[in-house]
Amino acid sequence: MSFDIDWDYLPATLNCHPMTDEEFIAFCQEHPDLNFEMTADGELIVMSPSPCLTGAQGSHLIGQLGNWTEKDGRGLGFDPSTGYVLPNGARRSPKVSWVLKTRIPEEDGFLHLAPDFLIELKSSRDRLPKLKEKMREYMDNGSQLGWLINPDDHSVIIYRPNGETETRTGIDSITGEGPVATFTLDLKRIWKPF
Amino acid sequence: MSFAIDDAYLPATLNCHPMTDEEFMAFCQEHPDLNFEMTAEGELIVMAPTHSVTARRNSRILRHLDLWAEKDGRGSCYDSSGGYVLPTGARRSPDASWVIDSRVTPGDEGFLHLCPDFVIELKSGSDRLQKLKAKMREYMANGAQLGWLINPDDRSVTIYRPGGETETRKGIDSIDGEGPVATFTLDLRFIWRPLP
Repeated sequence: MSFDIDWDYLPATLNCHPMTDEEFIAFCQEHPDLNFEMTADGELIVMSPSPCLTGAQGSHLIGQLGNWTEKDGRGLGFDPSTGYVLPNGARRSPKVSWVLKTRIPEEDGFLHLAPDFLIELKSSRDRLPKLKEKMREYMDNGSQLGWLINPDDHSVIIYRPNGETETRTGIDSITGEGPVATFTLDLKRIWKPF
Repeated sequence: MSFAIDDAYLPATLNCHPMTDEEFMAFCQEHPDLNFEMTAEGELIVMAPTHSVTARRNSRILRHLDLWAEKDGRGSCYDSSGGYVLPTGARRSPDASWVIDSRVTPGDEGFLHLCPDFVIELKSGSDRLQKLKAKMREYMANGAQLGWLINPDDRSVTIYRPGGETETRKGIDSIDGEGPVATFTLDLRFIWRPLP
């Protein structure tokens, strides 16, 4: 039982089944060159490696959130290698995320929770409807704030817990709300990462 | 640029791009062992091979629909090898469908660039109900007059009507058509118990 899919065809969604953490780790180890997510009903998502522009933008995001997180002290920031298992069973790895320290378990492993705050960043290979679906899933699973950053039109869609969304276009910075109210993200480096 | 995916991982949705009929036909000919659909945004769907029990059910549905269509005379029945290009650009192949003949250009042997008037989708073991429901909503949004989603797992039929209305019937042994196929009745007993 195997698959071999060229980069042009990624991301791909394959028929599969829900896995335990152990099964998922073993599966990932069998495919060390690929990154995976899994939907709540057990479909396997083979992620596409990021184009370098997205990689640079992601690194700016992590740097800024990391600086704020350290000063703020209440939570921890996580990079996209972090595996979350949401309450609905989906396995997700947001581009950047932040969780209150009090919610983080002592033992290492997957985080069985939805991040308090997360940022998804659209790459040229991402389809906007799928990213929006993913954002709604985070919010449905308990996230307090989500930002979907779309460099194509310099916009940020803000997702709030009650299902409310707000789109801001043509902005150069954005300030947090709720648990991350004191965090301000400078978007100039995201719009022009090089 | 290629892919090889074991049957167990199908159906699969791959990143791709919208194609012309000629490109899509050439692509399908490069993969003669596989069946494809395409979403309106140009994602490629590699269909799962059909299991024998689903094939038995499908062939019975097609026989009933085709016999009725011939007697009725206004339209024709198409099996799942018929490729539709919906107004949104999605390429779909429903398990069974019916189109009023006057909508089909005489002599046109290629893909049908329209949405069928009546669509039946049959859930197989590898189908996910959520995805089938989305597909049914897509047919209706593209102009279908009636859709039936047949789910042998719980012996239910969900009826899709224009305007977004749906109705699910359970524990029934037959179902009557509506609108353009009002005189068609599908006997469901064989669908619920297809094995000899």
